[in-house]
Amino acid sequence: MTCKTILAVSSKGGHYRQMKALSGAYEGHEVRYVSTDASLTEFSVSECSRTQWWRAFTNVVQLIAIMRKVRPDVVVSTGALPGLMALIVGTLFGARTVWIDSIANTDRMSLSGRLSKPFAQLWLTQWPEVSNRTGATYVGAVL
Amino acid sequence: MIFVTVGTQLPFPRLIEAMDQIAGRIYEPVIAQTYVPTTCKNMIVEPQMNGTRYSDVLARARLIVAHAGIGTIMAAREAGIPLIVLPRRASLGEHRNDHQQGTARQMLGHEGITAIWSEDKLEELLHYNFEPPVSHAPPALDGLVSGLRSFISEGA
Repeated sequence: MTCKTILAVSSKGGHYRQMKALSGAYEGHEVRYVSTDASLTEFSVSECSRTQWWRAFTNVVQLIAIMRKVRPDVVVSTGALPGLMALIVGTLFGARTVWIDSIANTDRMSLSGRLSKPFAQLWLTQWPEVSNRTGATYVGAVL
Repeated sequence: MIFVTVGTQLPFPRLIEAMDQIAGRIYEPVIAQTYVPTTCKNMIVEPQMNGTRYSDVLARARLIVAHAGIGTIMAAREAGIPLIVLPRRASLGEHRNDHQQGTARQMLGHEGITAIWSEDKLEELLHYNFEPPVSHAPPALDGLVSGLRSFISEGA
């Protein structure tokens, strides 16, 4: 098995906690974490949500700088909006990409999740019912 | 000690005000993480907590009372501390949408996690001795981890 470099991007709080629960998937690989809280992770980007959508452009600039340094083979995100930007920038860098919609979205994909579809080679929900309705893949959940 | 927490994104005055009133009538200290600076009569308030402080306070709690946020639910589960969740309502301006209502419904039947839909239920519940939530890894996590692992190793 070749060792891959993985960039794991999530907002602070519940998104980050879900990301950390998945750390077993990266054994044998190199994983670098990005969050919206500089005290949590090696790299950080600005907090950003639909009410401050313009900050997504700041995220793009920050993520380009991070990816030029890290050169990830795979970009994984558990949301929210900064994670969507990471999948878009990751695609530009030729990385393979994974979107894992938050387990909080029990009835439908999040807005960032819906927008991430064209940029995610693996597009996951954590609810079987949402999978049936949206075509997102279900393989399991963090709870 | 009871730990009240509303997470890292938004204030939740309905829960904080209800808990502050109740805290005046019970003989147990209450620490509240309120997101925004808040004046409370009967609770110790810390608006924001860093990760270490949050874990420390949470680990010492007998019971957690919180919004229905995933971070809070996962933290309570990992620490094995009983949790009562009151989901935020979009119609009261407490969140952008009603996804916490769905999260709370999904928690029904999870041992150690109690969902309520009105703050009126809070006071009597605080006197119960709840079973702690199961803290071992949930079965569905294996599927997600191995799905992710095979995607990572498939690529050239």
